Amino acid sequence: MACGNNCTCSQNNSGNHDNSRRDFLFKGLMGGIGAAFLSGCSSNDNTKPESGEKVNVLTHDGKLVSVDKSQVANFKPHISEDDVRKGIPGKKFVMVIDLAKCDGCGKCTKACNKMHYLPSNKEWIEVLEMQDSPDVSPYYFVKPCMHCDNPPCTKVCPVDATFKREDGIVAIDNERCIGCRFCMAACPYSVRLFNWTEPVKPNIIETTPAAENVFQSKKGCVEKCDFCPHMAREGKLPACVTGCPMNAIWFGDANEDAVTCYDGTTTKLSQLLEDGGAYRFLEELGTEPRVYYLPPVNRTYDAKEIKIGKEGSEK
Amino acid sequence: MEKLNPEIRNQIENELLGTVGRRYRQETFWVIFLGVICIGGTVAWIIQLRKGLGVTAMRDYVSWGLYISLLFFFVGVSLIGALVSCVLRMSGAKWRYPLIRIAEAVTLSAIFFAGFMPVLDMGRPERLYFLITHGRIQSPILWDVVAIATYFIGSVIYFYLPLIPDLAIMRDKLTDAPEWRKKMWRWLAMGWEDNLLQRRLLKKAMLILCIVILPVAISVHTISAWLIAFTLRPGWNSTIMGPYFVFGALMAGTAIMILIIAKLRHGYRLEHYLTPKHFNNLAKILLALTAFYLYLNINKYGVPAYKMAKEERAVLEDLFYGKHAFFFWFTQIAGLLIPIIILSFKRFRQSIKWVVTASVMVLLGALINRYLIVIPNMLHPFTPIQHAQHGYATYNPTLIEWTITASSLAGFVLLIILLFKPFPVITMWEVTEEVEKSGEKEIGVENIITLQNAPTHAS
Amino acid sequence: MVLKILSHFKMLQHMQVKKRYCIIFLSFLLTTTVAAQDEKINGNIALQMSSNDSMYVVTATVTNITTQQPAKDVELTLYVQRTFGLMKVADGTTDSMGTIIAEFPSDIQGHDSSKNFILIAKVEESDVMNDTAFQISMQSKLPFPEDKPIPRSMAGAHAPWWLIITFIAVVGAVWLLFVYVLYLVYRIKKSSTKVIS
Repeated sequence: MACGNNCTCSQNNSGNHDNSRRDFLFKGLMGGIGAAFLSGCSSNDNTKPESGEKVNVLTHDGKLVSVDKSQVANFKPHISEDDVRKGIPGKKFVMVIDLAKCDGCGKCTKACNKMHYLPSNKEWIEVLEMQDSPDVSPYYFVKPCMHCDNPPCTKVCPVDATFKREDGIVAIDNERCIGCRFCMAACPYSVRLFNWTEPVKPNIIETTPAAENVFQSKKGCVEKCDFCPHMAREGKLPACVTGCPMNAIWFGDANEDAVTCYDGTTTKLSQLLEDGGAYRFLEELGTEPRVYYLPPVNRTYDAKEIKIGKEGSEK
Repeated sequence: MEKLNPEIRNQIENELLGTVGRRYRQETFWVIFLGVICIGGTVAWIIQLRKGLGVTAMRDYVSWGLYISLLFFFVGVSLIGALVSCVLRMSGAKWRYPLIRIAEAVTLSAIFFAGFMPVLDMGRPERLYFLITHGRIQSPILWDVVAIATYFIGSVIYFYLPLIPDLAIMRDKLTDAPEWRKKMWRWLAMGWEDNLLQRRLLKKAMLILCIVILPVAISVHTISAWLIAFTLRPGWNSTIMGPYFVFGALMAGTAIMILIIAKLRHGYRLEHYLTPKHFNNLAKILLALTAFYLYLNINKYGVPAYKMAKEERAVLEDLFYGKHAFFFWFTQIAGLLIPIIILSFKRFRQSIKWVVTASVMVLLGALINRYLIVIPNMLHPFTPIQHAQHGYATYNPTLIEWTITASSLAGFVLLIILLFKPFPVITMWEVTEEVEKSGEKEIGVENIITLQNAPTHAS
Repeated sequence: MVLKILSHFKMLQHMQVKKRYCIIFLSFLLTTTVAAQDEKINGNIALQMSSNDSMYVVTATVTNITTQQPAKDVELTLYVQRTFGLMKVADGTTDSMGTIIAEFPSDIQGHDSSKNFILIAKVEESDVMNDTAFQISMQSKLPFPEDKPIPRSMAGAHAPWWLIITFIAVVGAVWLLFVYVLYLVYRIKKSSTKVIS
């Protein structure tokens, strides 16, 4: 692609140098319209070295100006609705959670909430205290959205607001959601949340279509963990992974057969699953989740400290 | 059977037409009372639209509450039209004739409000049209919308068809009615003059519609049941849901029919036409349906209870001796068992009072049953509810929800009353025709032919 | 180090001349050796690849840039570049020839549909050498999974054909019958002979 990104917008890259420059400028215009807000203050910044490449941007008072690319901050490639529905090409995201390492600190939840501007009473990734039977040890169970390959939620959505992408992510388009909450009834993992009231909006500008927004909360619509596709597009890990100091959460691309955790340790996915005796939660339901769990063997913390929250307990 | 004296026929028609356009004091009181409740409901809905669904008690765990329970209830009650008009027709029960229009009115009103409930429950109702522009036909909600719309249209047509000859009678008879009413009757009566061809066409139309509407009615409620059954939740992941809902619906519809007939009979002075025979027969049907529903309940709850599988344990314990135990046992004992005992005795079946009492119990049981299908299950999902916020781990419906619930039930009754303002409660032409054909005992009406044989009648 | 020299200086002032020069010379030697030990060499890494049935065999040679001599006792790590991080596949220390021969299983997937992946040889946090890296692009032996669009299914955006046909057929049949019934009603109207006032 002329802009150097693996997206699928239907811009025709003929390979002609002039064309690719035009394409680039066109995309620059699109990106620049959003980025122009950010560059509003940087337009007087003459300390950055000039790159020699010019980009057309629309200023906040409606003028079209040509500025050096170095003056435009955070230049992001244009992502279309089709891109968001199709997913990031060539990737198949997968998560591995090592229950032996999770000590229930909840930093993953806090990191996720910070990234997606969620209040503390919402949890896209939840840390539960589980005990499978009375005589076995309790353990902390980390529960993000499983992004199932046979998702019960997308089957029942009447308007295609929640959909499965080719890169494995199950996304929600809150411009399409009608708020019927059938997906919430259908999800056996209880990972979906609903905006019963008007959420507090952060002061940010989104440059992507709704389904890949950082702030997903819209009154009367459903939201859930999205595997942070806006981070993945930049080659960065989701918030929960970088927020987990115990290296309990691994994230990666199954096509590449590699997953990475907080401190950058990257390992072969197939090796990790085989050595760790990985399993999937509620496998018997046939939802085919994309989150694997490594059983809590040789835990790094003392299980006796875990207090199992009473069923239906309130904070 | 002998043909009715035209004077007698005239008298019958006058009697039945007497309800049209007439003001009754009690009726006016009911209309105002129910109207006020409906206005309250509309206000509550506007508040809900502005503030969001947070004004209800629904939260992330119990994400479906009273509104969906009411949806199931209304869709269920709407099956009664198909039962009376189609099933009884095919079984040749002649006593159904005075009941047909009442049943169709109940159906129409119920399916109208059944279409309302999902809109009340939506987070973004302004996006309702997405169902058409972006609809996914793999979704049971879309099937439900299509089915309800189809059943509504079918019921409107099926309400209208037997109305045509009655409209013709009104057009011909009630010459002192206001002009706009006469115009309306003239137009709607489609030039009915009771000639052979028109009779044939009407009979054909009613037969076709009868055959089509029965599968539509059954599929409407089965699809609504699939909103529950197509999920993986423990307790909902059951194959019995379709038949369970359909028979529960027929049972609840029959109970409502009995109650409404009792009220109309008394209010409109139709004691000759809605007689203990009707109540007896409806009671027999109610007995059969209630007994069968009890059997279905035993299967639905008893079979998992024997096994006590891990996922289902929590819900079953909740229902049997937990938070919802009182309501559960009420629906089983007071809602099913006791009515069965009452209705088994002929002596009670022949007393309208006892039949009405049994019906009230069945109806209450059915309403609570719909609630018990939805809420306790959502309180016990696969993953435990832990460190939940205040109000998330329980469901205590708010004032707004109760207001809207009350107003939808009130609106349901109000719409039935309003449907009987412009139209006669009983299909005149069918009743007179069938009395001629089979005698009044078959139809269940009373004291018509005795009028005929009165001394004043010329031989 | 400067302080050391200064303290030496102060000491020297209080000594005899011969001893003084001795100590100055010895101090000079000491500081230069220390300085020589603090200075890390800059190196070059060269990689040679071969593979057998199940393993890749990498021969890495590290040379000192300035002296063009092989650098020995240098710790080298081999990584494969993955989307979110570097995956360690082998490591070792150079021998007296400055080489390492490392093996790792050849079931490494490519990074994208081109089946290419990047192998990086890194010297990092070594005592003798400054951080340096060298990377080559390699072809994976394994097929890369294709990007398949979500098929027509109950869970996908597009419905399966049998569902579409069934839905349209059933709903269409019912509605057509409704239309037919209304047509019959129309015929009722048409068949009226009398004129109604």
